[in-house]
Amino acid sequence: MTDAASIVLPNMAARRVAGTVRAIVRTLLFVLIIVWSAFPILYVVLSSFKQQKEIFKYPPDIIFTPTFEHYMALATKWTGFFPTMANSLIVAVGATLLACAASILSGFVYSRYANRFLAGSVLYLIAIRLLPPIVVTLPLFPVVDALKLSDTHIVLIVLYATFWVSLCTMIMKTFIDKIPRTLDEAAVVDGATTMQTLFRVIMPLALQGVAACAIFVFVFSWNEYLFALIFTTQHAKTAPLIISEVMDAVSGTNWGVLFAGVTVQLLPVTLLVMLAQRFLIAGLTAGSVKG
Amino acid sequence: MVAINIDRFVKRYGALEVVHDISFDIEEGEFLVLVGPSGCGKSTILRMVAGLEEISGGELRMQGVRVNELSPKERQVAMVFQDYALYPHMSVEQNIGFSLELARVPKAEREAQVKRVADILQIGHLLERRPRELSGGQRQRVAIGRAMVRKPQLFLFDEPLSNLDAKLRAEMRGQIKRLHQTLKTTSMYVTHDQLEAMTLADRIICLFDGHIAQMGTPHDLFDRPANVFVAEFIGSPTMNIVPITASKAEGRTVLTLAGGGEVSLPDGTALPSLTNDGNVLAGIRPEHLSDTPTPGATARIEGVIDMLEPLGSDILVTMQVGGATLTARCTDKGQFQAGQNLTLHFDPARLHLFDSKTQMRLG
Amino acid sequence: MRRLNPAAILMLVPTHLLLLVVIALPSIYVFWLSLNESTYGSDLTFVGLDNYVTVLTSSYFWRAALNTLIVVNAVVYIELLIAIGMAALFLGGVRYPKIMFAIVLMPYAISEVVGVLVWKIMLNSGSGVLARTIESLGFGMFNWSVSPPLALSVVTLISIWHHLPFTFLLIYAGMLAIPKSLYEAARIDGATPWQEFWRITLPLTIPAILISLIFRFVFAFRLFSEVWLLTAGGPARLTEVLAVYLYQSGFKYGEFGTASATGWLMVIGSLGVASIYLWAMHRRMLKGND
Repeated sequence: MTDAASIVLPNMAARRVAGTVRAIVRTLLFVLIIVWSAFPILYVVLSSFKQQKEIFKYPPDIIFTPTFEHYMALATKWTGFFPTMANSLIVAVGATLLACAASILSGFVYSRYANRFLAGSVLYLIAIRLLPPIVVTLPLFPVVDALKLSDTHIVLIVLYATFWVSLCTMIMKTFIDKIPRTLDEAAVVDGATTMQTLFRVIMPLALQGVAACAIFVFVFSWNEYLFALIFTTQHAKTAPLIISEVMDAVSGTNWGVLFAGVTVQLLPVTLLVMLAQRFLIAGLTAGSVKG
Repeated sequence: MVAINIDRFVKRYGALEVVHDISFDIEEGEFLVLVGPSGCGKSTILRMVAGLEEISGGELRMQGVRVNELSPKERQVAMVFQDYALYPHMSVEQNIGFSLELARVPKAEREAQVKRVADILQIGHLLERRPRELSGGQRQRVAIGRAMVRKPQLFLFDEPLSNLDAKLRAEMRGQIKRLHQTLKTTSMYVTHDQLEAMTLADRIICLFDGHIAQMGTPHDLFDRPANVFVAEFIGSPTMNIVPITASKAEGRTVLTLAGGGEVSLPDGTALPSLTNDGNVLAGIRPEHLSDTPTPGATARIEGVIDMLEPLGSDILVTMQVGGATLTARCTDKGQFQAGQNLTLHFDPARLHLFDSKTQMRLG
Repeated sequence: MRRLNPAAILMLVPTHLLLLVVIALPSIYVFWLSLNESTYGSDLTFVGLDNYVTVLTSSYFWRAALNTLIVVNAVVYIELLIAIGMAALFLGGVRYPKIMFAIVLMPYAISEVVGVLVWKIMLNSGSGVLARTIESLGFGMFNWSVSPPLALSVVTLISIWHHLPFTFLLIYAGMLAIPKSLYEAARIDGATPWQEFWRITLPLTIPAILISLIFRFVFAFRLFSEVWLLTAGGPARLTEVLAVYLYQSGFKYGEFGTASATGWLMVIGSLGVASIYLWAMHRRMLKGND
């Protein structure tokens, strides 16, 4: 052991300094990330509680006396707003239910059955997601019109669900793949039908996947703009659309009330996403690994 | 009375045939074990009987009725899976009662049935728990309970003990045996462990590469293996099998080992008619080789001790005899040393001879 | 694996019916539309490749294509770099991880409309809090509404802000999947943290990076709302991107034929980009070092 290098003690003081510097830089970077992610949202939310004249004050006040006048105005004066929120809710819930139901069924089949058609159609499921959604609006527009479905909840529900059903199918497949096949077999031996196997055994074990799909579809449908712009005009108009209209109004935008509306629109899904991050991350990983 | 007929079973995956034209019957109340190395088709046959795997060719009859097209439920089979396949989101009680629930058995009746089974298996105190809160042995019992509660026509076991440690495996083996003695349900049990097969079976089917290598009672397979494969597969430590040439000299039969060693058999030893000019494979089990002459052990073989593996009261002695290696299981009294010369004795009746080309038993 | 039976086929019907009726058939029909002259309420007239000629000789189209190309590439690569840096930072340990992830995810929950609204107000020349900060730092008037490059930069900024959580999560998940033992082995071999990142973290994150690149290119290609809501393509159609060009020709000028031709060109472009990366991934898998 004589030719092994002897231990040279490093300069511990220098190392401590370097460690401290690194810790400070890391903390600063985290602060930067927080500001970047949260500032624009906090800015709107806080502004909605400010007096009209304080909103565009520069530099803005961080500390101020909150006022609820814009929320009162939102409820009393901007009568068009809450119906669009209701539309958003109907459309988002409808699309979520439709997409989840369809993809639970198809995800189960893709996970548990083997067949040349299935193997080929996995590629189709991936490829179809590459199509820009705006392309299909051109032929769908006259069809929707002819079916008298223009400006209805149904058209948005179907569109939103369809644009997520392929990804959700892959997510469900990934989650169901993780459930041992012998559980299905045990259920079959126990006398379960295919549907009973799916809903009594598989579904309860793949709830995380269902939650992930539900969040993806709900957040998307709640916020979507393009389809709502093209396919709704009045009755089925969603909240993002009315916000965009007010924001682009040539004159007389009441910013305080608009900010109050925006806050009401963004708060529920922001909280949902923040609280359900576990499912979101799990779903994102599941959906991307399989293409 | 025959309960199950397996008639010319064939299983194909595309062009690949994994089970070739296999037929056998299971008697009412019989405990039949399918044993063989992995990939021999034993699990596939079990799953074909269960209704989990399509029968590509042949017919499955239960009580004389063709059931190929029936679902597992309609065949009234119950199954214990290798990984137990307990439903993780259900309690023990729900796991056991699931099949009854699906069959719309009323709740009170269901609870009584579950309790009856749980009492037999001594898991009554675990009914509220989830599978993940149970030990391996407890899970195993729940899996058996789930199969029992159905009162099936046929019990299927797919390597149920392979996920347990050695001690628990022995314990559960005993429990399954006792259970079968009580319930007398016709059972089909798949394992790769020959010891499990020997201890549990009324009858064993030894499979090799999708064919039946031998079918019979544990004694049949142990005492009269039909071929080299079964001879080597059944019994532990493995049977010694060495190529020899048998010849008659001065009225006595002499077996010459490939490397030059000789074994003389006593006068009057009856050998079966030999093939290939007397070039055959000879087999002798280690426990039938002894270092002391005992009554009947009248054949002798000499060699040099190569390696010793003490097992406690017994010892495995590996000996080199003219280029061949023989293992003997002897009583350990500290009498052996590596490098020593040793003479082993055996009863010529314990000698197994096999055709060196076809590997089939002679006589 | 079970063979497909009628019950299973029935279970596939909802998903495939939706995809067929809403996406597959319309996409094919768009191709037919692109070979015809069509507008609201009029019958189709077959015109061959005329629409493609119209589109490909339109300077607005090329302007939109160029803008799309620049914005998409800027968005995807800047976003990727930030995401990699952020993921590495998080990988080095993060305090209050649940809260941090919740904050990082916030922009994902925001509607494009609201995102544009907020940034537009904050960057509004003369009144926005950010614009005035920039102006007070002496960079001159931050008047993006009259400067197409500046406007497209704002579009890029908003798009990155919006989609960074998604890319970050994909890359972070990829980094998390690297076995801890590799880092331990590297440390025993004397690697510095910097070397660990370059020699272990980054090479082993390449599959995740490629996947997020495909996702992001495909999605960025659809870029519409940010531009439409911020500039509506103006001034003088100088900030249009392909989706906006398509929307204008289809829904503003009622030229469904040329809009469809644009749509098909977008599909081809989108598939082209994706196929480059799919090919790269395929090669990596063939080499067996994923």
